[in-house]
Amino acid sequence: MATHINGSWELGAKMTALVVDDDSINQTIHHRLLEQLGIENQVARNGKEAIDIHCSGKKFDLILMDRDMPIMNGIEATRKLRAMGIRSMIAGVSTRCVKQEIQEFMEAGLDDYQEKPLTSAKIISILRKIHHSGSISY
Amino acid sequence: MASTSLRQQLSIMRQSLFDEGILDYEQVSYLETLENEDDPDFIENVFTLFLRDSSRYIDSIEKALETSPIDYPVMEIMMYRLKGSSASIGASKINGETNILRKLFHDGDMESGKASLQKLKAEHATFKEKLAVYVGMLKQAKLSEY
Repeated sequence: MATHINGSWELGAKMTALVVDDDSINQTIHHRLLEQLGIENQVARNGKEAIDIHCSGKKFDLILMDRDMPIMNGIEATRKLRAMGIRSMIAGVSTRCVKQEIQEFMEAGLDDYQEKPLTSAKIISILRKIHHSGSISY
Repeated sequence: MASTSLRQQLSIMRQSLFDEGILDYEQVSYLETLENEDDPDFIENVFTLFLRDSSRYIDSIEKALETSPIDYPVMEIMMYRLKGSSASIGASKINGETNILRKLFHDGDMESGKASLQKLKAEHATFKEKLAVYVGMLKQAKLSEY
């Protein structure tokens, strides 16, 4: 669980995250960003890979879900993960800024939405929500 | 000595990329904070990836426009990818031109859309040339320090 102490993040048990994005640049940046925050993470190239990773038994504290991906997009993947009983924090990440489109993504089961580009500050604002919601349960 | 001169050239080139609006100062400065001894080539790798992928995205948009009927789903995906990745690396002009392109095609203005695509291609060609030089200088500067 992430704890905010004296203005900085103290990560107790190592937090884990899954970056779900089809774009190699965003995969690289988001992976590095999370790594620098001390969050162990891996990358899935689309929604289907994210589902498959969860079906293999892996679980994550945080999922960064891109909206527009081939094979299975972020909306469908989020719905499926929630239907599978996955209660991880899922933050939608996209360049879309039309209210209706964001709403559609949120209604799929997101806990948060952030517009690209992602920054450490945006990740920390997501982490605060995990902290405030109490312990993470799967 | 050589290293200092190269570093100065690098700094001048970096600043000119910001001054010309080719790269966004805030976003690039942020990306530079992600580079450290664990990942010393992070910036070069990200820029190199964008140089490669952005060319593919633009080619795909052009091909999708040339198919009959026009492959709108592919165009949409490629424009979103270009929009997202250009925003992530701070490629301001590319990002701006992509937004204009998307709007024109969404509004159904195909002629203006095609003209906008040509403008994007020209902008991208300039961007590629300058960023490739900058990445080359970054690599050289690092090598000269060893």
